[in-house]
Amino acid sequence: MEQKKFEDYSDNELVEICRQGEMEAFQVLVNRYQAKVVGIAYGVSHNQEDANDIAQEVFVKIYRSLKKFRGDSKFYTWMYRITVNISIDYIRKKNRRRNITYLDEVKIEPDILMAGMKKSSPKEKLLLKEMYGKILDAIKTLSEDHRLTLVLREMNNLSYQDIAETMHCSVGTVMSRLFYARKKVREKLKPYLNDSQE
Amino acid sequence: MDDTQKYFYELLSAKLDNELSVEQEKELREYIGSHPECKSVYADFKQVKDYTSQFYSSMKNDVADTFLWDKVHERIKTDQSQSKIIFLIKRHKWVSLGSSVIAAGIMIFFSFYLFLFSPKKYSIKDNKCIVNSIESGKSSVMVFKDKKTNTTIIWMFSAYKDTNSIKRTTL
Repeated sequence: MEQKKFEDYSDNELVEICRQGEMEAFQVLVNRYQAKVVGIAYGVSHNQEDANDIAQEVFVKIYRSLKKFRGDSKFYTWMYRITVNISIDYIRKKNRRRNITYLDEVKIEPDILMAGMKKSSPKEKLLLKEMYGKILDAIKTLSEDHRLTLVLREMNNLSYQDIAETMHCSVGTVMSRLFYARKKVREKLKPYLNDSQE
Repeated sequence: MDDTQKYFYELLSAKLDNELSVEQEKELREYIGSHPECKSVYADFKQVKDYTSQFYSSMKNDVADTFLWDKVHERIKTDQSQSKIIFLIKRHKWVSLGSSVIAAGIMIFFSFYLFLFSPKKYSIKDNKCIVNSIESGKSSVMVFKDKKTNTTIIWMFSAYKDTNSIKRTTL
């Protein structure tokens, strides 16, 4: 019978193997979730270098805390919660050192986001670039909780239930935060939205 | 915006994410039926969601190639060796404590020894004066006179031996 590869194991099975000291199992977990963890960190910090630092910190912390993971919640919501906490701490520390809000010096430019786009016409690209700028402006006005809720939903496609578990709040609060965040973005994007109705 | 309207607008936003229960769907449909303006709000929110998703997808593409394992593995290994040292210290704390006390004792003993038995130093401060000095290419000799203690100090320096020597004679 062919031996099962670590890649085929579920998260909880891998956690159990990691606890027995099998580093390869942890490598599979890191590879499985690195993009999502970096994504959340990037969504919060808006800086790629910071996002990588945060993600490293997250995985080291997860490895240290594997014994504490009881399996009551899903592994990934537990991991996202750690990611959210470390991202917020990291940003707060950085803000304290520089005495400014990190979003005041956001390094991400709409141009960077446009880099991967090939199919759009120059006119469409220009329009989208303007809109990304507006979305960034709207995100800057949001509180940490609203911003994180939006990141978890739109970047990682988490369900409301998973977001609620990650952020230790109710599903109703998630719904309310997403509505508020979208309302803010809508205010900024108003001139760009089509009037067509469904 | 009153609470009822806010509640239904929140449902509109959740509908975009397919997160409504059957009851909530029904409730929203009835509300939209009596409030046609909701349709344009829904259309706006749909566009907002599309653009926001697109915005975050672009960000995600930006970091898609990240490969963290090497750095994470390195950090974990460093962590493990540090915790081994801490573990050993904790486990053999009496041995560690004993050796620290012995090391501290040895240091204190040598400090006292050096303080008590170090050779006296002579200086040319105060009422000491140079009486004479002889210099050659390889060595030099200086003679000091200390009026206060009535002592003559002869200071010799030899380039061959690379050492200073001081001799004291009482007049």
